[in-house]
Amino acid sequence: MTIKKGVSLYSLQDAYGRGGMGLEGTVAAVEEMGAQGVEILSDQMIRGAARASEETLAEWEAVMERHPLERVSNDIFINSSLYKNRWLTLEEQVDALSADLRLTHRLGFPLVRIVSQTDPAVIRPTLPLAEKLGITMAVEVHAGMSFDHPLTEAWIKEMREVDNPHVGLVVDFGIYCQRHPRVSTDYFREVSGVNEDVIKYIDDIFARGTDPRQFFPRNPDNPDDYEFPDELTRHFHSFDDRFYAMMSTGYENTPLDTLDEYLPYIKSFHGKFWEVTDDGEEYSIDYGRIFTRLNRLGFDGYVCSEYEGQRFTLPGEPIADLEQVRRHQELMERHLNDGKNDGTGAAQNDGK
Amino acid sequence: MFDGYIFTENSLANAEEDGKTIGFQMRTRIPYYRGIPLSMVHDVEVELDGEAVPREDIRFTADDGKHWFTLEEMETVTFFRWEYADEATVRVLRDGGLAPGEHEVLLRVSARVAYIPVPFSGEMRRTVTI
Repeated sequence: MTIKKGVSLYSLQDAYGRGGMGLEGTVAAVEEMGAQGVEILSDQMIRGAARASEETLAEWEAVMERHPLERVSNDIFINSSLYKNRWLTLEEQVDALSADLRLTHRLGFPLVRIVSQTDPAVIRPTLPLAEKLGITMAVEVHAGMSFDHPLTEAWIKEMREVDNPHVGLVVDFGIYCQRHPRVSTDYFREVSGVNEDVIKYIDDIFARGTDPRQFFPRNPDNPDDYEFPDELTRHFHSFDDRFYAMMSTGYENTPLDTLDEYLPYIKSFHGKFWEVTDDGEEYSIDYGRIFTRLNRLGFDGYVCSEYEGQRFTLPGEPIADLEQVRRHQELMERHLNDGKNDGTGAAQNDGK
Repeated sequence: MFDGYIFTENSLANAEEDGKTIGFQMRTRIPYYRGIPLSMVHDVEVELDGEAVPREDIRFTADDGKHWFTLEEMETVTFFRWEYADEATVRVLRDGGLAPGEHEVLLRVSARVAYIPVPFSGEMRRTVTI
């Protein structure tokens, strides 16, 4: 029973694209960092995706032979907004998902991470194919739409009813934030001139041990629509002030007890991070606290580094994705055994 | 937050066809983190010296000019993908292209993604000298 370290190539999208490292360059970098596993987004790094050529698939296989990392998960998206004038029908969504299941099988991954807000009605029609291919379908539980979001709740309800090992969850550590990411604050301060009073108001919400999503009343008819109190809106002097407050609902301080409840369904984790600081810890997420709980619960599986700080790199600054992922792998290595053996160190790390 | 991916630096040039300058063009990366069919490119907007270019004058290719589309045509292009690794070219039809001198050009690209109600977009304004 152990936590294993992986890297989602999402983290290295900039190095891959603008940086020109390509698929093999990024996979080799992940191997060099000491990760055991790799997670990809086939829509990002497999040319043609579900219509990939035999040549592209052979190239992927050759890359993985030269860099033998365990294939953890393929992150897929159903392009429900493919047409401008209508949403895809359920049948079309099932077709799209089936094509991605076949691709995932060809790429040698046992797990697909399905993006948040996917209609759970796709599960039953695709389950026979998933079982035949030996692939598990797991919806992402992402901050801003975690366990209490109606669409995530609907997926969980369907998952429980289907009660099949090929259906589960991938939980993103972004739901266990205890502070607003500092790099995001700096970005909005610098680029949009967001009002310091708004920044402080949001930081104070986290300081009270909760998060904006739980703190702001929600429109009962729209779970993504928040009502901001007057004591906050009086600080809104520009669209960006309101935008910052809205964006802050995308970071959650969900109680860690949710792990106890959902662990039996959790197939893998996204080790979300925005900034590994110079002292080697994530600024917003206490990895020691989460790893302690996971080890106590006996989690046996992957946590894949998922770097999101590239989004908040200041204009003109280089994106430090390789360096940040390397630091994050080191961070996870140090916390790997937190909470094991129930020793004193673990007790200190419990964070309750 | 994708502004840095839009309007590749030093990519703007007048576009020639059969020895005739038919407009100007620039390259851009996708304001998103994966490849998408062209139908999911929600909009491409260009402003030249503060004035919006007519939508029907814009042409787009994501495969180095093997296929050019108007923005209206692109709405039904569900087969060709704009791959994440590739730069697309945005061309504005304009007889004679840009006159010599300094111009301010704004490029804004939006992608309609699967699960976010508002399209992802990025924009970049550059001062270019022809």
